This record gives sequence, structure tokens and C-alpha cells, in this order.
Amino acid sequence: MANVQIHCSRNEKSERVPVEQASSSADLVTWVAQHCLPAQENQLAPSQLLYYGWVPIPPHPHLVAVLKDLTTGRVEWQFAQPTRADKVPSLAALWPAASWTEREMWQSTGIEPIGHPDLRPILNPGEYLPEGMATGSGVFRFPLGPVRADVSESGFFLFETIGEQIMHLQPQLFYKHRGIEALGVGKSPADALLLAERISGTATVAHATAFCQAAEQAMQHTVAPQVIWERALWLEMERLYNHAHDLAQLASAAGMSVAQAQLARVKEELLRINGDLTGSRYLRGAVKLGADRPLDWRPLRDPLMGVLERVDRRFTHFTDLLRHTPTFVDRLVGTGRIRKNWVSAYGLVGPVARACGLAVDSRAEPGCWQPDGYHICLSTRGEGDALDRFEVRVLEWQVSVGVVRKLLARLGHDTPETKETGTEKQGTYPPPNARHNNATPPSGWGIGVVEGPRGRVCHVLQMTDLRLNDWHIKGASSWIWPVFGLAVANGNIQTDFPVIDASFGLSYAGTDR
Amino acid sequence: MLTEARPLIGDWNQLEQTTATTLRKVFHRSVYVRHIDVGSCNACESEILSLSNPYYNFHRLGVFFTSSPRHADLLLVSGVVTRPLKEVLLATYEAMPKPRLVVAIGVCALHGGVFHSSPWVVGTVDSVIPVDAWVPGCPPTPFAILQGILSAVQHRQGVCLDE
Repeated sequence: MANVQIHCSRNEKSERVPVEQASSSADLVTWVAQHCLPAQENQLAPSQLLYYGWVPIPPHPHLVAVLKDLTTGRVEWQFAQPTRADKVPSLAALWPAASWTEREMWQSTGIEPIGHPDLRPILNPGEYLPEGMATGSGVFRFPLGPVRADVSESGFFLFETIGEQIMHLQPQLFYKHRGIEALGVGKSPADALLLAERISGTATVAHATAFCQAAEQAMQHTVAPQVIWERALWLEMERLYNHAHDLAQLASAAGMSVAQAQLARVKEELLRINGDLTGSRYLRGAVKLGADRPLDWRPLRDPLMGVLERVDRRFTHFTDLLRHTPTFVDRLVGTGRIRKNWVSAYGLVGPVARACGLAVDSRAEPGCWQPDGYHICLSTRGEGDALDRFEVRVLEWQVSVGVVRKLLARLGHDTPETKETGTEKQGTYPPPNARHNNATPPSGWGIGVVEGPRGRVCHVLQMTDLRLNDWHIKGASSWIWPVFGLAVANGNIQTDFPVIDASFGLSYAGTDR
Repeated sequence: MLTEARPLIGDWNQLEQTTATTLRKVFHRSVYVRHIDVGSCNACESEILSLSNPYYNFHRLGVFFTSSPRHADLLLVSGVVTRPLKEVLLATYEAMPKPRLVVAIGVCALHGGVFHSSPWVVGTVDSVIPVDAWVPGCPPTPFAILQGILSAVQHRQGVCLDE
């Protein structure tokens, strides 16, 4: 245990810090792999890896892994200092989900993961691009991007095809790497929140909430339950417009112009009500750090309810029509199918994982506060194709609308005065000590986990004297991207790509950071 | 009511006519727009996409998206220019036929926004290619983007007539 370093300033709380101490980086890697790989394919692993990475804080840089036990909800932190200065055993060798994380870690810090199956540069696409794997007669390499058709984010795809058939696809991201984590270091949490909101524009609330949870935990600040409800409400509002957008894009990819236009209307109306309520169509500034009270929802409740009712009717009508349109359904069945063994091997999250039948949702986990009326949505077929991803988003829309209504009824009922004076009136909803993770981290550290529109968003940070020392962001899409290439090459042809792309609905900016 | 559609521009019919006339003078036909993301957070892309939804429907003004810069008259640039995307932006601009217009969308494209001091960022859009119109906002609303496109076209009309 001699080489274990736990870097935190000691205070009276440090006695009950539940930090499991790995004796070396090798033990840490084995520990993560043991806990994150399920016994059987397509099952939930015993634990969830919230974060794994390199912490460069001097004087002793180290590896950190944060796991959440899915039975107890306990969040476990492990720190280990490598025995050799610039080398650690590779986690990706045991668990492919860590592949991109380790490639990024290797390139940005120079720490080499020994035994990594696919160690290539990832951060500088301007200097290095994928070269292709397939050889032989009839193989055609087809590069796509970073500027490609329609209005889309910048990313590069290397297709390898034989005829129409896609044999292999490598996505290359990080064109938009802005170094946000490094930019945040040294900033006050209030300033860093502005950066957090701009990691991924269509997941503004998810990143802002995860960041605020992490920063509040690091500062040992507890927010009022009403603020937690309000954040949950913004998260659902964000999910609603994202799902409407993703389904509009999917309808467009399948040539359904009417549904595309109508779902785009749904999105626009939601953006407008967001703008009316908060001043920002993308809910920027809606989540406030250490907020002690929510908005006065009494005058806002009815307009929002009215809009919800209108868009819900339109959404339900047109998704129902889509579901009964054979040309649409035929386009989606079996397209971009995710194999069962990829789900656990890559630790999938969000609607993409739930479309494969995996019940993973940060809102449903022990230790997290569950919004009233919430239940987890799984696809009925569990095939993991584009149709399942469509179905899961439709189901989640309905649940989200219900959750927003219930939260609004609660928030709009209170007067602002009662909000300040404690939780007695609210009974046990949520429990007064409700935190999104119920284990205390090492002092100065904080973690925030929320379920964004695309899945689990996690922020890990360390603060001293109200300044960020270290900040790590793990967006939902970064778990899913490695599987995207596999799913595209899983028996699909060139013209399936737009459908698969739209059905995944991944964020580039949230992965690039 | 909070959610009523808000009229920002007084007389749409007149505006449409003026716009159509302007577009004909400068480009003889419709304006074809190519978008490029050089490091944005995706909120600007979302708003640019909104231009084609039934509420803004910029097609009726004779403005369309195009897939290829070779067919584009106007380049919409969103985001702060990152290192790998600088060359891509230049290549896209060079691939456009003349006369070509550039509209920078959002504060990141204008002056870098919260990312201006990042070492991964090479600078603002106008440090790489000439810009005809700037649209502030984080992100700018679709109406603002539309106004930016029209301003750029009108401004160029003056230049073209001078030439």
C-alpha cells in the first residue's frame, strides 16, 4: 500500500471518507474490469463506471476510478499511483469500453496504457486520420467529412465498402476539441458553469446540472429540494425537445417530410416556451449554482401546461402515424442493429442502451432521486435496431411529459416563502438528505451524475479555495460512439447510414469537449 | 400570452419582395447556403436547422441549404475555429465560386466567447477568412440568423453595383 496516494485536504469529515485504496494501478484496472463487466451478455453489470482517467494534480499525479454499485447506490472512489512513471496497465485490454478514454489519456498526458488493443492518436485529426483496415479486390475507401451534407457537426467517417455493403466504418471525432476541462482549471465554479453549459448545446441542462451537483458536493453545499425538482423539470424539458428533434431527423432520413416538419414544429414550440420561461431557448442560465430557491412557478405553470398539451397531442398523433407507415417502419427494422455482446462490452448508456433492452437509466438507480411518475422505458422487441431506438424515444417522451406535469403541479403549488423554510411541509419527497449519490467523496472532490437526453452525463471535479483544480467530463455520447461504427457496419448498405446516424442522435461536441 | 408567435419584422410581404429582388440582383437566382461547424457546441447548428422548419421556412425567401460548397453562394460559419478545422474552413471557402459571402454565427465565431483563451483554438472566423456579416447571440435566434443572411446579401449588392 506504500504507493497509494490520496490527495485531499484533511478535515474533520475525512475519517468517514469511503475511499477504497487500490494497492497499484494494476489492481485498480482489474477492480474496474471485475465490477463493470456483467456475468452475462446484455445484463446490467454489478457496478457502473462513472469516471476513469488520469488526474494530473501535482505533486503526485495518479489514476482515478469512480464506480457506482448498482445494488446499493454507493459511489466508490479509487485512487492509485502508477508504479512506473509513464505506464499503466490497459483497462481497454479487459474492457473495450475504455478504449477511446485511454487513447485520449495517452495522447494528452503521455501515460501509456500497456496492452491497449488499438493505441492510435485520437485528439488531432488534422495530423492523423484513420487509414482503413480492409484490403482485397473490390474494397473501396470512402471518406466522409468533416464537412458533409446538411447542417451537421464536424466529424469524419471512413467507410470501407464492397459494392453497396459497408464492411467497416471508423468515426474520427475531436475536430472540435476545445480543451474545456483544462480551461476550467483555476476558474471559480460560477465561471466554469458557463463553460459547462457550452460543452454540448443541446445538453446544456444535463451538463450544467451534473456540474452543479459535483461543485455543490465539493463545497458541501446542500440545495433545497424544490431546486432539485426544478432541475429535474429542466432536464425533462431538454429531453422533450431533443427527442422531438431526433425523431424529426429520423423521419427526414426516411423521407417522411410531413412528419419531419410537424416534429420540427414540436421542437420549435418547446424551444419557444423554454425561451419564454428562462430567457434562453436552450435553457442557458436556468440551472444556478447553489441556488436556494426555484422560480415562482405559480404564473408560469399554466402557459407551460398549455404548450405541453398542444405539442404532446401533435407528437403523439404524428409518431403514431409513423409507426403505422410501412415504408417508414421497413426502413428502420434491422437497420443499424447493435449486437447483444456490444452492449456490455462498451457500457452503453441512454436511449440507445434501453433500445437494446438494457435497463440503464441514472434516474432509476439507487441513491438517485427519482422524479414523481417516472419509470424506465425499454423497447418491447429489444433488438437494438433503429426501430427500437425510435420506439424508446416515443415512450420516453410520454414519461417525460407526465413527469413535467407532476413536477409543475408541485412547484406551482408552493409559494416562494414556504420554499425557504425547510422541508417539513413536503414530507419525505424527496428525502431531506437526498443527494444524487449517497457516498461522501474525498474532501474537495465532487461528482455529479444526471440522465441527459442521450444518457448518463458525469462530471468529476476537485476544488480548493473555491477554485477548480481538476475537472473531468464524461458525456453520454462518448460511451456510444465506439459502438456507432460497429452498428453501421453490421450488415447495412451506404444508404442506411443517414437512418442509423439519425437514430443514434449522438453529440459530437459533448464527446470532443 | 407568453407563447404567441412574436412578430419581429413588420411587413413580411414587403420584406419578401425586397429580399427576392435583392437576391436576383446579386445571385441572379436563389441563394444557396452551405453551413460549416468549426468548433461550436451544437446549439448554433440546432438554430440553423430551425430555419427550415415551418415557422421560419427560409425557402420561401429563396434561400436553400446545399450539400456542396461548389454550389454555395453563402457560407454560414458557427463556432470558434479549432486547430484541425482551420484548414477545413479555408478549403471549404476556397471551394466556393465567386461572388461568395460569409456569415459568422454566434459569439464563438465573433470573438471566441468562453473559449477564446483555449490553446486548442486558433482564433475567430475573420482571422481565417473574410466575413461579411456577424450575428451575435449564444446561440442567435433563427430570426437573427435570417437577418444576418439578408444583411450580407444586401451589403454585397452595394459592392457588386460599385464593381
